[in-house]
This record gives sequence, C-alpha cells and structure tokens, in this order.
Amino acid sequence: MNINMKKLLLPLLAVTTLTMMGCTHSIHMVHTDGFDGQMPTASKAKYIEARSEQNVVLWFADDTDYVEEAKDKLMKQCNGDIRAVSTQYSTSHGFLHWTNKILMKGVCVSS
Amino acid sequence: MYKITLYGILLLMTACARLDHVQISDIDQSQGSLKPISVKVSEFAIELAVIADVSSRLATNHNTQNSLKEIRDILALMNMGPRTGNPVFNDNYAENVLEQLYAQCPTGKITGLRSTREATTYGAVSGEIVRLNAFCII
Amino acid sequence: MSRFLIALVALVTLSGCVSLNSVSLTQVPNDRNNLISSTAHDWLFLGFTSQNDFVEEAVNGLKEQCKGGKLTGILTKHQTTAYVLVFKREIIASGYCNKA
Repeated sequence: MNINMKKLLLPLLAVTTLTMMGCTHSIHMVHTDGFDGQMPTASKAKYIEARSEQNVVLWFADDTDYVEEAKDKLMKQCNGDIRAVSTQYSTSHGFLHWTNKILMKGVCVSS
Repeated sequence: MYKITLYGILLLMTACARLDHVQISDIDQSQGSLKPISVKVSEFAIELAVIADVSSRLATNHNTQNSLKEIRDILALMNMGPRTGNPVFNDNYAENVLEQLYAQCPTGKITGLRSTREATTYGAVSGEIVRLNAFCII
Repeated sequence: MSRFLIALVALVTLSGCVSLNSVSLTQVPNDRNNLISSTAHDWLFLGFTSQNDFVEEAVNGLKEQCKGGKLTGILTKHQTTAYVLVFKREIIASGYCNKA
C-alpha cells in the first residue's frame, strides 16, 4: 500500500465511522399466533398494527410498560376478534442510549 | 495485507449457523392435506467495533493501531444497546413476512406456523434471518 | 461529599435496570371484559440457576383465575431486573377469561 493510500485510509475510516454511528438495529424475536382457521373475507377483515418505544439511557429503565402500550393501541383499533397476531421486539442502537421497540400486527375480524 | 487476506478467507470458510428463538404453533391435520410454505428474510449484519478491533491487532504501524482502537471505542459507544446477533442497518426487513406467507397459500388456511430467529455467521459479519415455515391446508 | 456519593451509589444499586427478554401476544377475543393477570419471579445470584420452574407458577396463576373458562389474548413478558450482583427474573402474563 503506497503512502497516498495510507494517508487516505484513516480519514476514510473516520468518515465511515461517523456515518455509521447510531444506525444499527437488532431484531430479537418475532412471535406469531392465531393462524388457525380460514382468514375472513376482505369485507370483514381489517389489517391493524401498533407500535411503541422505550428510550433507555445506559441501561437505566424502570419498567417494560411499553409492551402494554402497544397492546392497548392495538386493542383500541378493533372491537372484534384479532387474529394472525404477530409481535416483533427489536432495539435501535445509539450513542450511550438505545430505543426498544415493539411492533404488533393483526387482522381485525368484525363480528 | 497477506495476514488480512488469510484471516478473511479462514473466516469465510468457517460459517456457522446460529439459532436465537424458536416458536411452534398448533398443527391441524384434520382439515385436509398440508402443503409446506416458507418465507425467509435476511439482512446483512456487521459488528464494526469487532472489525476495527481485529484490524488494530493486524495493523503493523503503531499510529494506525491507535487510530483503529479509537475508532473501535467510538463505534462501541455510538451503537450501544442489547442485541441479538450482529447489528443490522435496517430494522424493517421482517415487517412483511406474514403477507409474503399468505401470498403462497391460495386457500388462506395456515397451520403449523414455525417462527425462527436465526443467523448465518462469518465471525463479525452475518446474515440475520427471520424465517416463517408453515403448512397451507389444501 | 462522601455521604452524597454513598447515597448516590445506593440509589443506583437499588433502582435496578429492567430489560425485556421476550414478549408474545396470542389471538385476542371479541369479549374482553374479564382481564386477569399473573406474575411469577425468582432471584439469581451472579446469574446462576439450575431450574426455570417459576414459569409454571405464572401459568398456574392464570389457570386458577379462569377455572372452567377459556383463556385467550395472552400477553406474556419475560423480563430481567438487574441489581448489581443479583438478578430478578419475572414472567408477567395477562389474558382474557371467557366462561361460556
């Protein structure tokens, strides 16, 4: 590697670092349920979803109530059965802090 | 450069599969024959702090080593938080798996849904996978 | 200053850090009038344990509250609270009980 390349390498790495900071995520799990039986007709079914987040700084977190928050948001969108429920738990990373996320999806079947 | 190439080749040859989470749902075989269906989504993942750390150990120049160590520390601080496997740069890759699964089942009757969170790892680089296997009742 | 530091360390140590290990939600019913919940936990020192029997406690707690009924829409959270050397593992489960 010649001298010019060596001089460029570290600034390039630094720029890459700054660009990549706070951009990473991690999906921990995806859970599914309620797939028994046939899906209802399009007129009786409505796709619903709900998201919630929790910001955590340096591991200090009092509770995991954001899970119930997502569930309550999902329930409010549907008065009937909620089938084909899927729950995704992921984390978005940042500088000395991160955001835990819950995504709940389902199919609302009106009675 | 020779060492980097050699280690890189060794890493590529030592791919490992990793299983993080498994879930198996009810299987109903009483409504008809079952046709297996499957959806797999994956995302490229890389642990940059580990790459910087390994690079600092392989670097022969002292200044380069120190710079890479600083980059390693900055990356570790900038991307802090719980993780399953190596971190990815896009967390939307698993949002449409159910729609893709239903597209494979013309009758709309799905049973025996198995959801796995897995990965194929090559050291600090991996493919983070969400896989849904199921049966379509014909 | 030293008393302030001791108080701060005690506050940090006793407050604990909660993290979610896993979460799941099952199919939710139309009738959601009767919400029941159950929790179970155990304590680990330095993360060592030889059993996970506390999970059954949460399940039995739910079953006790819905005898003869159908329990659906179950939200299950598995979380861990860290207190320096000691960890509290907890299962928090809630669901809707429908008795025909």
